[in-house]
Amino acid sequence: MMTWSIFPAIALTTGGLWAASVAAMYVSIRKPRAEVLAHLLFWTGMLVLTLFIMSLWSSLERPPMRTLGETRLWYAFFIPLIGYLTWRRWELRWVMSYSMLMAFVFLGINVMNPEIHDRALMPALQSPWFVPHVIVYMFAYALLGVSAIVAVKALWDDHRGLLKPGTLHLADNMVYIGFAFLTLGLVFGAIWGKEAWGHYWNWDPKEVWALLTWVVYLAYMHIRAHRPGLVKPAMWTLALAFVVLLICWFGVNYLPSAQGSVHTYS
Amino acid sequence: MLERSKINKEEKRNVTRKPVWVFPWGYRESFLIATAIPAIGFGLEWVTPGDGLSAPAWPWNAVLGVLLLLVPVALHLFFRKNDLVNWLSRIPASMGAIAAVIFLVLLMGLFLQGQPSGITWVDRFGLTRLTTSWPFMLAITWFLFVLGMATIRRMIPFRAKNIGFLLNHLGLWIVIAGGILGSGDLQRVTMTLQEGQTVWYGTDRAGNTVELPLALELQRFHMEEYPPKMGIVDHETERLVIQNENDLVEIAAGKQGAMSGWEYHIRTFYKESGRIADRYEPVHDIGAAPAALVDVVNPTSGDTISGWITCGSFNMEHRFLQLDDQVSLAMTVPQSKRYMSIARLYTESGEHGVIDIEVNDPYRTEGWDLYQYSYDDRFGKWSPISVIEAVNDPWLPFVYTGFIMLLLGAGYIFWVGKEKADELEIGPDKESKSDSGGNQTVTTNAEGLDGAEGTPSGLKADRFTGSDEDVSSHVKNGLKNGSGAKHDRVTEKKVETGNGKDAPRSKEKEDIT
Ligand code: HEM
Repeated sequence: MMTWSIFPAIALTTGGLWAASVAAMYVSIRKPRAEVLAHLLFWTGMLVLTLFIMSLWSSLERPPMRTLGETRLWYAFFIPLIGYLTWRRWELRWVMSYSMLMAFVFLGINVMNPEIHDRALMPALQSPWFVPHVIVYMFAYALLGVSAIVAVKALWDDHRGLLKPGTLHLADNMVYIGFAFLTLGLVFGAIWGKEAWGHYWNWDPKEVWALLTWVVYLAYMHIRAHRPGLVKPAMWTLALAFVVLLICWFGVNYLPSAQGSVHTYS
Repeated sequence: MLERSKINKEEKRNVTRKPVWVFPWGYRESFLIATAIPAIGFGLEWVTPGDGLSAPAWPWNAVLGVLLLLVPVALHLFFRKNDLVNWLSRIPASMGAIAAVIFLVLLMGLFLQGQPSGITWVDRFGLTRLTTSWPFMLAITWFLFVLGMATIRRMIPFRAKNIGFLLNHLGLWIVIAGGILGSGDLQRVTMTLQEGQTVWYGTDRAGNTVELPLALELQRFHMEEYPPKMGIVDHETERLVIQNENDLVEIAAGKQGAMSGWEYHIRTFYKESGRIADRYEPVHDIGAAPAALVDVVNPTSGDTISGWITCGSFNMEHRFLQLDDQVSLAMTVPQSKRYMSIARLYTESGEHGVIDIEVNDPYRTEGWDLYQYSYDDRFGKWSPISVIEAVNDPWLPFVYTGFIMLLLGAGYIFWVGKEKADELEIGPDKESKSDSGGNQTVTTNAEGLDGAEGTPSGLKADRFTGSDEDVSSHVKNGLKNGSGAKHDRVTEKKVETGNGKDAPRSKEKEDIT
């Protein structure tokens, strides 16, 4: 395949542009004019990767979504996009940096390990929904993980009587953004389930825990919406929600309920 | 402000709890109901042991759906001012319903579902088939009812600013109602196809034969495989020894490398082969299996061992290459890359030509979705049969409508976030507008539904404290208006003045903890 052979150069170019973009983003805290540069560098990187994906697509004569290597290409495409949007909308620079870091990892694996490009992806995973499903979950987990840290900080501050409203707001906004991505993940997963397994919801243990995670965050949002004064119960819910999330993410395979789950390949 | 906090502190000192079940209701009533519902459900399971409930089918599910829709609408339109109706549409009631659902979903996540556990009490309570159990059905019904109430209150009259709320709440309502009610009409049957036979029926999960409005005649089952892999097997454990990713090698002719110190060179590789004497030659017969000729160098002696390996097939024996006393080289069975059925489709209107049904790529016709479901894995790509799953889900359009709303709703909360949602909700001017929009007759005095919320906006700490449990608003009203035939029966729960450490959204912060 001709196209993969130029990939190292593409990855280097894109990665370099994005790294510079992140740097410019931080510089812009002091020197606002650098922000324009951050945008420019970011979008140029996107453009380079887009052109590569388009040429790969046309040379393969099918959407490049079959192999793990192709899948990683989409991660490297969408993750920075989401990170960028989050930065633009919420001024959350760390999310942008985090997403760039993840993108570098995926670009890097594809460069270092070209052998893996055509490695097995089981038929049920070969779906256009696979990539978006996984990406939005990666984002949700990152944001909600940070919100758990914020919750612990809030509890600690509250204990010492030093709690600032800003901390609660940070927790809330992170949950709102994270919850939005959880919802996307759930719905994408359901649509994919319909295509691959015949029904959008099969009460598979992983699905059950994903739903549970979602509902616990839902509870948090409503406690906060109803009683902003109830700091402790809300923050404990938020911290606990992350435990549920971790069980969903790593723990499900070890539960007695998970024997025979379709998700245990992960 | 100062004045009032003093009074509230006063209040706080001689508070007695509002008795349960006295209006206005709040969290306690909500959680009592939320406990009672699963309890009653499990009680019903205990006294009526069985295989679980079956979801109502057409038309009863539709009747139920219309009821679930109309009851909240009617309650909202005609009894909005009723304390109970008001409470039903507020967060305290919702939290109980959400908690009940969390509890049941948690049980589902802990007990293996789908097959009896053999433990008497577990099975008798229906804990291994919760989705068809009384507690689940009751809790979901309660959940939908409460969610419906919350949704309707913000839907009638319609206001543009509520769009995000509606996308999320109505979308979720539609998804759950469509999914649960639709499960009564959902049909999933498997069709076992054999080459040359025309099949126009399927078998459902209970083993009943179901006649279908379509027929399939299998032309061919087709499977593509990934190349097989090879690895070193320990004779004692009979398992592959895999220490790192290099220890499992994808086989390709000419490949060289090392696995756990053993250097190899794959001299020949045939994707499909047959055994001829002691060799393997490429053949195309049924049951032909991959085979490879490999040279391996013993890391201690330096000797080269050379020989064939194959993973075999249903009619060809597998073959290892013994390397020393402890280990052999073995080939793994290739993994499938894609598989599909190529079949001729017939419906009542006639023949429709040959179609492909592939994993992840179902074929839709006559309201049925046809999925590649399985094959006889003993024969792998030579499977003489192919199993197709046919699914008919007439409620799917509802559920997908709800999905789209939830996706848009997710976009909304991502973009608007918490801050804005608050702005939309609590500005005092908007507040009063919203109240008068909802109910023109409401005065600022706390009466009935909106009235309970209708604390004079200047006084109101937070819109969401406006549920009736939030007795503080009553107390405040009582204080301000010096009245309160209605409020007299409300003895305080616990009023606390804010210390400003939270509730950043309100200037005047008075919250109940
Ligand atoms: C997709 C899931 C959901 C999302 C994203 C969501 C989000 C929200 C948000 C952000 C608020 C406060 C801001 C506002 O009023 O607009 C809210 C309020 C509320 N939610 Fe939800 N919610 C969801 C599901 C539910 C469920 C399942 C229930 C009930 C069982 C519920 C009941 C309520 C109630 C009663 C309110 C207060 C309404 C009012 O004060 O007018 N929500 N929700």
